[in-house]
Amino acid sequence: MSDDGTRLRVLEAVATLVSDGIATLDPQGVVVGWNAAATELTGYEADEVIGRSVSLLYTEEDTARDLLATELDGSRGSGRFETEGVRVRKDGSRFRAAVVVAPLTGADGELTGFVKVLRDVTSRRADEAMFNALLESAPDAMVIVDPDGRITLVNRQAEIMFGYHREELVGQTIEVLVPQRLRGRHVHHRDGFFAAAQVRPMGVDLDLFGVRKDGSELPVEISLSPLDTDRGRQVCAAIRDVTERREQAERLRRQRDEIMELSTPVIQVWDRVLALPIIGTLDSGRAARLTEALLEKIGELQAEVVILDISGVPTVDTLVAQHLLKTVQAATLMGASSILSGVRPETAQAIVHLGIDLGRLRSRNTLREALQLALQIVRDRSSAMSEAAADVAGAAW
Amino acid sequence: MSETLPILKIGDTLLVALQGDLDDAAVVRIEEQLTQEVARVHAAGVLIDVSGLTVVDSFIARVLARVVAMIRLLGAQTVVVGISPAVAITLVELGVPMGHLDTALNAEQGLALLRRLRAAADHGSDR
Amino acid sequence: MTAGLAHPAVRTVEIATEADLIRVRQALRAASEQAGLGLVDSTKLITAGSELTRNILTYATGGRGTLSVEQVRALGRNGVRGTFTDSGPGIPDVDAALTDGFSTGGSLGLGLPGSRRLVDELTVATSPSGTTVTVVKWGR
Repeated sequence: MSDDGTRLRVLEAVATLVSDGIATLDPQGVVVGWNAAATELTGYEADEVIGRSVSLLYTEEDTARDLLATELDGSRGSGRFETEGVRVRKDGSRFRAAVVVAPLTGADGELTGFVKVLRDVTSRRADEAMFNALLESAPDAMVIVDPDGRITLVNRQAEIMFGYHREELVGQTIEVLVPQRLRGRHVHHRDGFFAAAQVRPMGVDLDLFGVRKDGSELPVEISLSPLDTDRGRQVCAAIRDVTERREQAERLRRQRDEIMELSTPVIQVWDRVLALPIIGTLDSGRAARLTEALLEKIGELQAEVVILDISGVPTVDTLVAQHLLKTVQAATLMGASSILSGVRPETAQAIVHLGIDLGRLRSRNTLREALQLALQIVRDRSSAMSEAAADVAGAAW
Repeated sequence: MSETLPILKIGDTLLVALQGDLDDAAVVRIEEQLTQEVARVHAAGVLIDVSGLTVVDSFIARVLARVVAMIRLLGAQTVVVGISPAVAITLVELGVPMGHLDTALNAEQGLALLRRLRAAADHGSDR
Repeated sequence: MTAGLAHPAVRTVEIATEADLIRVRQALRAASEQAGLGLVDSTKLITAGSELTRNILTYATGGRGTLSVEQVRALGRNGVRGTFTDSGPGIPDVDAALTDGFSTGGSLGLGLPGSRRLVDELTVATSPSGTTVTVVKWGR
């Protein structure tokens, strides 16, 4: 390169070949070169702008805050200045431009001017605007997360659902929306999803919960989909509040339980003798309620013997046996004896094979035999009781 | 429960009713008073009524079991009466081993059980 | 979106001496009554609270900690949440501590596993600088 003039001419030759708008500027920002793409982009012919400040493309606000100085000083300081903003065409219409400004220096290093490249990114912005509009109009709360788990974007529904303003959420890790007790596990699952991302519902058949800013929790369903963006892979989580649906399911379950309980009442079969015919399978919830009902009745009727009839239980596994054992233990603590009845041969085999120790629990094959035993126990006890009463009466004298 | 524990004596049987919300110090005091009283009056039986206790946690339960063992060493039998349904379920779920405790629904049945226990003890069998 | 919005005051109980056992039980009883828990459920919760308080008195540094009690609501049910916090040495092996028969302090080791059976939810967050045990009991 011989002199600055040659360098400038080479630059102008290159400028005619590229599709980005290129303007060469003198050190004050006055246009000295203007390529065809710049004319196409802005509507200004080269002879209309050469000799004028490049700030003629700025909006009024940008001119007012002296954007020109910012761009030129910025590029001089670091050798390159990049920005994105709105610029104005000759006809007054606006476009969104990605701008790069670089300084030009002479042979001995003094500043000779600048080169400025402009690219129209309006269409890219339009895509983003459409994406944002879609995001905002979605009926679900949407949260977009980067591979580090940081929230990059949320929609209005997410703000409403979780009680945050979006500025409070963006930049936080997604775990801020996960109840404390589930956070550790969540980080683990999240890493797994980024490693093998595909569209899928989260935690199929799991009860998922979110947590609001005020600390309250809400049951949710979440669908995940990967989003490949120019900022790398992100994940879009669509979150739906299922409080109402879960409440409905819960109500149904409770109704079903109540019907089951009605079908297995605690019966007073004799003075101070209760029978609890257990019909159907015993899950933990139902077993707990049956036990409570039985113990309440023991207290209320001062029953001394209870017969637990299990002839209506299809299979006695470890869990059922444990429930029975707990019931018997609690009844014993209250002071009532228990008798198991209706034990079929296969049930007896199962209990022993499972290694379940029912302790000294008395057992009879049929309800009738169990009742006979119960009456005998009550008789023995009441004779001891009258003797005891005689003792006390004697002592009182 | 900072006061001395009211212990009633009927014949050779002591009756004591535990009430309210007991802190650990109160529970330990009861243990001491009761064993001393059993030795002092040569009681043959003790009836502990816990129907006034709202909570029996593992500590209270263990002290109860301890008192029963001490009283047995002093030559008397103990029956605990009045364990409520809620307390019974809670103790079972909590997993406190209470198998050695003799219990009855109320004082009347408790006295009858004491009598049977004493008869059994006198005849050398274990129940 | 009505669930979870009702948030009555949080009660806090300092745990430092055995006398605080009574205050812990009272706080849990009051919250249970407010939440409409039945007698059996509230007795279970209070007993679990009693056990966890004893854990703090036994294991935490200086035997000190805090309980905060609040009412919670979800799925149309009311419940009570108790959060027990201490700044003790932490639990080295939580899984073991939740297993029956495990104990480092010479007691029966019923504290955590026993309490877990008495409540609907029990979670442990522990580090060398302290432990938080959260329990929730739901009404029916």
